[in-house]
Amino acid sequence: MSTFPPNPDLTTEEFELKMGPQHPSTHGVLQLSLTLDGERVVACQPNVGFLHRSIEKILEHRTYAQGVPLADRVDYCSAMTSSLAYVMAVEKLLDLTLPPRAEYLRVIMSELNRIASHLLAYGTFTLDLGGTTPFLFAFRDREKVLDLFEETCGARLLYNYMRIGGVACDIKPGFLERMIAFLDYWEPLLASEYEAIVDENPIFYNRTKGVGILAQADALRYGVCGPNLRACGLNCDVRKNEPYSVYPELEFDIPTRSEGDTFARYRVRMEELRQSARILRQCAEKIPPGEVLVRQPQELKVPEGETYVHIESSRGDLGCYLVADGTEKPYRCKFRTPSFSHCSVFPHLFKDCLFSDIVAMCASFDIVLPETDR
Amino acid sequence: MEPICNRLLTDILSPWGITLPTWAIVSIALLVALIAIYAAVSVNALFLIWLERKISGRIQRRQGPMLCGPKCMAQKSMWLGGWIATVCDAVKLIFKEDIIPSKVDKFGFILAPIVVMLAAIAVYVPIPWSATAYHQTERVTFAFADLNVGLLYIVAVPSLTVFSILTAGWSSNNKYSLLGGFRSVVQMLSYEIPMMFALMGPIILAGSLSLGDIVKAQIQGLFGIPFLGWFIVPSFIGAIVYFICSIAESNRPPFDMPESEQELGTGFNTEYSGMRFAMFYLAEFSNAFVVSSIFTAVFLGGWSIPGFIPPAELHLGSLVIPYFDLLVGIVVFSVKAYAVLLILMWIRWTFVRVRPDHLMNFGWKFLLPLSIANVIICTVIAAVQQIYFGGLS
Amino acid sequence: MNRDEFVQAIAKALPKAQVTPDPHNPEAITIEPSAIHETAQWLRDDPAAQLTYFEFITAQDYPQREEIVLVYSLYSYTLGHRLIFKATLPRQAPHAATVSDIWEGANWSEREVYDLYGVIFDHHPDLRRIMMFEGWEGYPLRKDYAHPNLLHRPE
Repeated sequence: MSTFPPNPDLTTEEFELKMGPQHPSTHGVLQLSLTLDGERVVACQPNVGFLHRSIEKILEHRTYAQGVPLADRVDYCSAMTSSLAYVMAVEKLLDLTLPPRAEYLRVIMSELNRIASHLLAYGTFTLDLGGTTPFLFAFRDREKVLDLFEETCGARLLYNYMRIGGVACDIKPGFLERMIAFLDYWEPLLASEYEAIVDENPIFYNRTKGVGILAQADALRYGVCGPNLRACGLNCDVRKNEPYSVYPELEFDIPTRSEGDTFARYRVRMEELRQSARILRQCAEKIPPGEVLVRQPQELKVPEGETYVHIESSRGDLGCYLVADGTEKPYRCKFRTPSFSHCSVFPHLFKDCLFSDIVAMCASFDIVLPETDR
Repeated sequence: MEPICNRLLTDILSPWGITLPTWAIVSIALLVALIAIYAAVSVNALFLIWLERKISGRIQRRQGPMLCGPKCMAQKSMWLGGWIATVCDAVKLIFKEDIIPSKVDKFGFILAPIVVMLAAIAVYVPIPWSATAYHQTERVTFAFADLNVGLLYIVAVPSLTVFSILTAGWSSNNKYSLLGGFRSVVQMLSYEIPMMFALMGPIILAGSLSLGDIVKAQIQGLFGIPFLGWFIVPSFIGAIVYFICSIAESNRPPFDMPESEQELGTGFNTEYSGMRFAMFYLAEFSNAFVVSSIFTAVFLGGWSIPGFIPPAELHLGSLVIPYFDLLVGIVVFSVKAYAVLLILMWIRWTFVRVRPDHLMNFGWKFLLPLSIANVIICTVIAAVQQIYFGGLS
Repeated sequence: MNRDEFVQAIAKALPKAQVTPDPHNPEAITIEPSAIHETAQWLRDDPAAQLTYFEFITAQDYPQREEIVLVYSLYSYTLGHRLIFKATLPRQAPHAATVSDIWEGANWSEREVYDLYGVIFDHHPDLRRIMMFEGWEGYPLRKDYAHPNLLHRPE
């Protein structure tokens, strides 16, 4: 482990450092109250809430359809999946069955968004370790994914594409060909650029291997999910455990690593990128023609009931707990977000490590602060 | 410098029948040197910043700055675009408000960038750019001052940077800056030792601390073979160790602990803005050029081309170019120094940052033993040379 | 285990919990608020339950019924089942035992519920506001929360 063994003969004075909320590597507005002994971190207390927009409260005052763009903003780096959780919860209460093309489009968009989000994660992770070049590689290709989103729904970040009962609009002619062309261009780059520049690099290897080891039992009790839990050796994925949409019809693997360290978390994401590409290729072949939306009334009244729907977003197990009271507005809508759980692990993990490790570990969890604060 | 300057002034002034006393010649030489050094450092650093941005762009598969400067040039090639960008940056930084935060230690805060700039300029003094035999009794080194302790000077003066970085970090009244200052001290202290040992090899081989003499010793060749003369051959390990240490000394990534943008928010210069920040920035690039110049002078034979000594005067028909060897020397030296610099840039844009404790371990446990081994190897080579081939210098 | 099996198993192991199937949510059960801690402990440790994975805690506010309902969601990766259990607290001075010693992840979730609903979790190691800053008045997610900046839409 990466400890700097303190010499008992040398007494040093501990000092507090508030890292953030304005800091280049806290990924938004996370504040880490660090107790430092020189370069060594003694304790860490994360403070969140700087980006609390009370989305859950606003949702209670909006109709169900008006909630979709708000749900987008829960996780702006992966807006497709976060609004998908919301619309799926509403659909479950309405007991709607979607046209198959809509389901396929949702999967295509989710997986494309997973690629965009993981590229962002890769980029910021390497940037936080001090490498500018991999970051720019990742962003160059992320732009191409965003171009695909833009031609479909007109937006590059917050899409408002999911609808209760389907998706907003069908894809443009030639979209699938362009998507496959992108995958053909990008998939070889994963090995030849992305991994080539960092994986074999001894500096990168030394900084990530064995740093920030999270035991599986701890991870479960903290509610860590998604790629970070898979990096602890647990074969878990909502797409396989409790399949939704058309995922049962698609073939893909769940990449896992047993180490639970920073390197494992990075590797799991890189493997997931390949699996997403695999899913997208299958979708492009299997997608049927047809309708993409079951139109819902303007003043949609959802029957009384409660449901919990969760999906595999880019960051992990994103859940939406929806309580409907028979009116046109949700009575309560709670988002169970992966980043919230991941931030809560930090006090447990950021102890007896170096200041530089904090940056690496924090980035490897791929936290997105708007998702933490909602 | 002084004999060259003396000769040059005499050549220029003698047609008019003016003779100058020695003190006037020395003063003029110093003045010229001072202006030249300032101009060279600033212009070179500006150029280096532009080059760095272009090189990084090329490595990252983009074009780098393209918009500042004539569009017609930018359309031809990416290497012609945006060449005025750093000039614009410099102008912007000059005209920015000079902010001194209220709770800083004013004396240290103001002093630090001045000292860092002073150190960056002062270190240029003994660098041997070239040599000339034009109307001289022997080949004279063209340096601002070819000090007889040049190598010691060139290792000692950059250490001033440590003081100023620590002062900047301490006086900024900012914890990030303070951490940056600490890191800088730790890093420079531990990397100066293997660096000095790495330079010991060439000192033993040349038998002199003067950089001019070190270059001249390399021209003579090793074991009677001129092509083996560059000290990178006998002191190969030393060259590698020095190269790594020099990256750490000039605070460049992957060893940019004191700055480490993503961890400390640019560390010691967090609180600086405007021209004060620009001084740190210019000094950093100037230092990068200095370390590659030292590498060129000590390990790559300085201004020399193996097996070729340019004539002092070049006769092209009726045209006579005086100081031809001086000009060739400067070009050769610059080409070598920039080649080394390109490797520095290549490393910078490829690697991720080293962690501070790995940096220490690497310096003390790996580079230091290597550099000591290099001293022993160089001693043996120097002894063999001395006994069988009759001395180096 | 499905919900009915859970109800039977908990009723057998912990009669004090007075477990009943929840009328609103087909996946949920309801227990007595005084038995939250024991039930949580049992759910995590019992070999038939093994709900080691903590998902979330949230609350629902019912001003008409003068109730705040706590909702706990748990999952077991080993057995592959989920359980949502609820406990109804009085709206005035709601108190519940913390489960943050059973699942560390509950620490922050309980802080969130405290922050937004005003439920006090007894023996919680660090019960502070998490989303709002210290010194914020009121509990924003309660239905009757009013703030000068919060504009209600005209009906």
